[in-house]
Amino acid sequence: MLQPALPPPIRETGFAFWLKRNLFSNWWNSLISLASLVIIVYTLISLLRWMVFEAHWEIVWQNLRLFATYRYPTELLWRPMSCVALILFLFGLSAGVGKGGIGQIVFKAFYWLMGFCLAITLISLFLFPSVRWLWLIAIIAGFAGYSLAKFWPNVAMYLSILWGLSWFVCLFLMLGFSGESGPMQYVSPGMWGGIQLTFFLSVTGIALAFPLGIALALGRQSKLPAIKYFCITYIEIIRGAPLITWLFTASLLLPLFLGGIRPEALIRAQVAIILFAAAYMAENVRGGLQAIPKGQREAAHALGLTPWDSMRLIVLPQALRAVIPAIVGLFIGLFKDTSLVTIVGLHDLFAVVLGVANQPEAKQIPGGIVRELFIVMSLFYWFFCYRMSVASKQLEKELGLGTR
Amino acid sequence: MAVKPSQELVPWYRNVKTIAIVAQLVFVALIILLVTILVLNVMKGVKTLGVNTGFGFLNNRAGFPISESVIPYSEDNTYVRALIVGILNTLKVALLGIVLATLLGISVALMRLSNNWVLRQISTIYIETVRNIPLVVQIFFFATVLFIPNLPSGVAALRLGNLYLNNSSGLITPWPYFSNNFWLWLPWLAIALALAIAAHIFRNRHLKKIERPGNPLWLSLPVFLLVAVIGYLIALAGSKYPEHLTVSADVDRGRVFSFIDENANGVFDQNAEKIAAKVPVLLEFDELTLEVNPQRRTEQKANIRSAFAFPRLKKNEYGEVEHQFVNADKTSDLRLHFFEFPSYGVVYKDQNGNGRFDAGENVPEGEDGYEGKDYSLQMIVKGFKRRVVTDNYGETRSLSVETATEPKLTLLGASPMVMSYPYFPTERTQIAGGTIFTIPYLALLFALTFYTASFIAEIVRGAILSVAKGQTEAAKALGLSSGQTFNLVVFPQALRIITPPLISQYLNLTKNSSLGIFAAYQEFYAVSSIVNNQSGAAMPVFVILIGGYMVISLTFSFALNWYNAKNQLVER
Amino acid sequence: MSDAAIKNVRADAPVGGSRIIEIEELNKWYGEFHVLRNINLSVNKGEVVVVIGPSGSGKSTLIRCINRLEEHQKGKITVDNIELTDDVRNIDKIRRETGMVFQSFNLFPHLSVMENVTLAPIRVRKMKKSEAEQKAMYYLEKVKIPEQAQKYPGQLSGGQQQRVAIARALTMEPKVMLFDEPTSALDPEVVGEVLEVMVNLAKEGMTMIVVTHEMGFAREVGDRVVFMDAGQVVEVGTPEHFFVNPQEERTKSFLSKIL
Repeated sequence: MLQPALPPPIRETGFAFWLKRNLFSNWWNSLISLASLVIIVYTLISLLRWMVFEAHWEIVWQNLRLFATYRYPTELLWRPMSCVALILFLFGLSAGVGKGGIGQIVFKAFYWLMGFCLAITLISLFLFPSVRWLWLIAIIAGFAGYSLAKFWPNVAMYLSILWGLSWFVCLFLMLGFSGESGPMQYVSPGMWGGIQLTFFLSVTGIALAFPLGIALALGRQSKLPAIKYFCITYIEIIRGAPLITWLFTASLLLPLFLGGIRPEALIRAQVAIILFAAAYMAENVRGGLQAIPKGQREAAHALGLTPWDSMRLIVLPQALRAVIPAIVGLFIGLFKDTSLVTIVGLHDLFAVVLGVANQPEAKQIPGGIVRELFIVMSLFYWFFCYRMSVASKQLEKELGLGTR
Repeated sequence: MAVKPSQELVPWYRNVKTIAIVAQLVFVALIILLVTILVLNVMKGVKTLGVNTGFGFLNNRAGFPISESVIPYSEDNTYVRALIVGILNTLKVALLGIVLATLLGISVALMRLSNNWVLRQISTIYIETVRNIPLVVQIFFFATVLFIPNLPSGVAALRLGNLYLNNSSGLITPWPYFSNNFWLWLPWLAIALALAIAAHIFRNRHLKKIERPGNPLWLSLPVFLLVAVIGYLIALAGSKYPEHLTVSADVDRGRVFSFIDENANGVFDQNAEKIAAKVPVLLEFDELTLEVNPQRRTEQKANIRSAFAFPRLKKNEYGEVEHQFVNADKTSDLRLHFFEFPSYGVVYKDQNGNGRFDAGENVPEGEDGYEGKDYSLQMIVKGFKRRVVTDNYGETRSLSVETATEPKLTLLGASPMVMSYPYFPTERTQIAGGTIFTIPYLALLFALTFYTASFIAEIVRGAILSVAKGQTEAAKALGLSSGQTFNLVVFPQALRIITPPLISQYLNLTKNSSLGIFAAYQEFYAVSSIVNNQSGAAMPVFVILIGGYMVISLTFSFALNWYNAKNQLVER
Repeated sequence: MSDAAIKNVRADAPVGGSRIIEIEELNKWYGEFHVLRNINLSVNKGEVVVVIGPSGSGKSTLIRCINRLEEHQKGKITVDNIELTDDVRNIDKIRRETGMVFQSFNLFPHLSVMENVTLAPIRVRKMKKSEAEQKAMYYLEKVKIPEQAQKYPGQLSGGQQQRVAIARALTMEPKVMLFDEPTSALDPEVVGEVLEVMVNLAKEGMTMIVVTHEMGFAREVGDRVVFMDAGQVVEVGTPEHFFVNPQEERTKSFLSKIL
């Protein structure tokens, strides 16, 4: 009838157009593009060449067990591995029952975690006979959890209880009884280390900081001045100084406050991490509480709910839902910060890496193996933090907070 | 008829107000109980563990060295001074880190917003990598992975003009020092400042009068600089040294220093006379004979493994130089190749006989049956002269020439400021002169800068994106140029969004500088930790440490609150 | 009408007036999507042209092309004898001569009303501040909100904000005013105050191109009404012709939906 739609005179699609628009839109851009491409290609080639021909990966492989569990007795490795299996199983369950957008995010996290574990399994199949079957079992446990959830979706109701219980089970498994020998002999926290410790410290830290943080946040919002100002003082003092000073403090002063009893270094560091994280958690939760419209609380009061019930049933659930991304962010920070515990003599991944770099075998290689160690350690941290930050961004979008 | 509230009839445990009071009382009681238990425990602990609780120890002798310090510090100083050195070191790394992180962060944000795909990808990868790796690991990267193994050591330092970089010292740059004539310039600086302020006010008024927008800094800044420069020249003309100022060389201790020769006997009387401020001196030797042992570079690149480095001389510092092997008969087939004549090169054996050095022909010390001493070279420098700045106190060594002959010293002209340039004292591996940014400092600074910049970049990018597109369109539709649109519309709005999180990033950077201990940089935390170890005064050190960081945090919070109060957008 | 015969509806201004805007064979694509198809439109000085049509028909894109907020790929746009090319100087000149009012006001929230209105005169026209403020007050009085001059946009209602936006555009004393759905984002009760300002402006002889859904305004003050659909001009005519006796099927169906 009238004018029909015509194709554009200059094609604004296709590879050539993309190149022009993104790389060579003018001489200045072209120069930058070419120069940086040359530098990138050169760097990548020299890095690859180094990684393939020059790097001494064998020392990294040889010490992989140290990185993972430090000095945990080899014959008892099935115990931390059972924890891994248990966690993968629960993660599988959670991924299996998850619905909607959040379910998808959980599934993705599960998917990546399984991918990571699968890679470790493949490595251990060839290199670590002591744990090769254990890793396979852990992977199977993950799949089993996922399948079980598909058959029995009602498990969703028990998930939070199961997760809560799993912490105690893991602690029990890793610590054992007080016996001197036997399969469940006591393994002192001094022997824990590596990635195992990194995970333990950060997960326990965030888990125990959570209730404490909520209490502090509610306290800060309280109308009772004594409680309010106590909470404010606590939060501000803790946030005012860096974590390293609190680790230092816990390690020096905790024995003093306990009248001369010296708890394990692990416990001292863990207490510092929990108390530290709680202050930040409180601020996150407070942000969530403030984001809940006043009308919600008023509606709850109008329905005749007591202040306690309206907080517990109406306000807090909404607020906590809103701060999930922030909590994931806090966890990422904690996960990175556990690398500081080497200052109080614990052997987390970073400390173990430092130790390996100073081994005589490593020192014999000209220039040492710091580069290899650095790459492996960074990749580990990066993988977990990056996946979590992606998940956090997706959660933010899913919960409709991205546009705030 | 009004109903009287029947307050008295409500039992106290159901009255909202009494509940509140009782709850608080119970809470306070619990806190007091807890504190009492802790205090009792501490008192018990003090006895059993024998810890120190008073602050009196602070005036005791510290007894430990601090590797770098902004103010003079030695082991004989007190704990207080050591802690002050620590705080100053924290500020030294934090302030520069804040500036650099801001610049890098803004650049990366702009790169991420640019229309160049490569730049966008680079900046995205940078951000996603750096913020997902612990800062400690990055400090480890800069210190242990990047700097120490890859930089040359000692005198083989990389050089760019008057800048040197090596892994034993760090970055060495020229540095200006005050001299005793500085007070001649000081009034001029004050005048310059006053005139600049006057110009600023005048320009502001003028702009208001002609009713044009503009920045008065374009007038006041040049005024300040011009007056300051003229003032400097005048002060320079009037500069003179105090009577009897004498320069002297203490060859044994490797020092060139100046003193006021009060009894005019020409020599420094340690008990009666004082070492004077830094002055520039020309150091001259007619002929200098040095014996040099080539150093191995720690670097792994095979072609320079047997590199040697003499005291590095600049072109204008010598007339002629001769090199010869000390053990000439044993080393007749060894040759020298210079990367930088006359002082930096490699010992090699001309295996293919082409008369020049090829990669792989070097003969590292201890290989091919040659021993270290076979390498020893004699270096005869004729007409050696060098401008040095005399020492303020015994730490730096400006001379370091172990030779029998006394150098000729000429006092150079007086000036308000003395520029000290880095140079290699002969026969020493440490660089002297200028100032040093040590490797620990650089490693911490780089890690803090790169880490914080990745967060700043995201803040800046988010803020710029959050200024609605309609704002730019409206500005363009009014005929504002792109520059004006950015300066007057986008940037002021973005800045309001950027500033609060930016300040909290600055605070994070400052707090994160406490990780300097992982690069062996001795800032506040590291020094406090040593003070605790030395004195055993855990409680007081704890109070000082936390108190110190609280002061820093509160300063940033006040800045933030002040900004928020001043710049809140007015809304309905 | 046969499908083969492509009819180019020309929306030419009446002969005799002096042309201020001339658009010839204007074509624009968003990627592969043909948004504006062969538009021919001219406007005389003092004319009020109202552009109507369903959403997504390219009305806004058309007027945003006139001051180069959108770039066209084919065709020619001339404003006040200046051709809109890639030359920055021409773009700047044209933007100075055309004022634009947006659907979402786009006032600068960090500047007071007075600063909003005087920003461009001072920075672009290099006016003195007092002069600009005097002019600003004149136009603020014209849009009937002189008392709000020292407030910030956030403190004003939608209708007040849009009137400030009109004053902001007028203070540049443009030769043409472009209105991009100026009342669509407003609460119904304040639409009237904005329309009143626009009607007065039209009566004073301002050249205006107005994209709107306000048929009452089109009927009352429009000299010509242009109906657009699917990126093309479907029908042009006087308001009487248009609302009383539309010719095209698409026009009829559109009008039946909204009237």
